[in-house]
Amino acid sequence: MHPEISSVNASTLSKEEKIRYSRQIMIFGEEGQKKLKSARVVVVGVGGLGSASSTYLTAAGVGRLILVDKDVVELDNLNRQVLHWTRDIGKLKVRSAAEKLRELNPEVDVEGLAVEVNEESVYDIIKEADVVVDGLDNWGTRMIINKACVELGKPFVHAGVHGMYGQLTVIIPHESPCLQCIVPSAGTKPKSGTFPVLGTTPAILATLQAQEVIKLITGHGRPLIGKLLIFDGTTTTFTTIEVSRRKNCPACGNPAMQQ
Amino acid sequence: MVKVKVKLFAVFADAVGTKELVIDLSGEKVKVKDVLEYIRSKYPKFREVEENVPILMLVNGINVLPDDEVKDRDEVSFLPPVSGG
Ligand SMILES: [Zn+2]
Repeated sequence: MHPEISSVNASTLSKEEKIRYSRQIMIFGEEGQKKLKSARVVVVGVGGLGSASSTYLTAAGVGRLILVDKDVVELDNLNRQVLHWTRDIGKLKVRSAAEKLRELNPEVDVEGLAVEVNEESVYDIIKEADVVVDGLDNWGTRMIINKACVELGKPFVHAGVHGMYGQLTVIIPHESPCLQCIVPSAGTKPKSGTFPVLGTTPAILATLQAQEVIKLITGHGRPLIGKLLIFDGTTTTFTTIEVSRRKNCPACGNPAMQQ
Repeated sequence: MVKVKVKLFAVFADAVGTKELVIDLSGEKVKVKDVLEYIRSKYPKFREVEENVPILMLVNGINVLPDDEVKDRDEVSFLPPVSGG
């Protein structure tokens, strides 16, 4: 388990769980699976990204999954937000998602919070999280989460998408650059607009997010810390670049820091 | 004279019509914003795209700010971090 994550590991696996997760236990062992079972993950936003990340986190058997989204399902969500089906139009996204995720894996404690993320509510939303997962659709709300994650020392797995483009990074507060270090010119006002997107784009980025979360929790592999992955679906290209902290970053900066 | 290679990603490459440019800039001290200004003046579409998309600027793979310096033979990249979900 990544040293930043400090959940207790007191659980045991039932016979059914050992069978359900047998193929991934071959990768990181029962110890890794128990770490997943002890973990609490918060997915903020249950749209295109959140649908895919929460599905794979549920299938992988995280102990507790908290979904956060204040919106209801609309017809034009359905090309990408695959946890929401035609019959769910008008239903709260967290309810629609939680219903299916509980059926997918009853071992996971799925909770839905239909609340708005703002400077006040954010601390309560993420306080119990071992890892926070980005499923948001605008820079403003992302920066609110980013700042709170830095303050509370929570790992934050970021992704964003547009059309057939996307990016991904793993933020470990005070160790890696935060989102504000990487995108200092992004607006900080919460504003969500209508953006073009093909359903496969968030699916690609969000399954990578789920994989990074699982790596952070189990300690298996090397998470994408201090690096930004850029995805170009039009040419099927993945590019990884190094990103660095800014000592004058308004969110995580420390003037005494060496740069 | 400062010669830099400019790499453009995603919607910025779409706006300019290529993923890579090599440009010569005159002056003793060239900054990242001078490179940006050059592209804006030559490719009006870039300016249009820029209005709606934040720019991640890299020099030799390290994220920088507009006032940071660019040296001869540096590689400058402009990427649009995207915000949909
Ligand atoms: Zn920062």
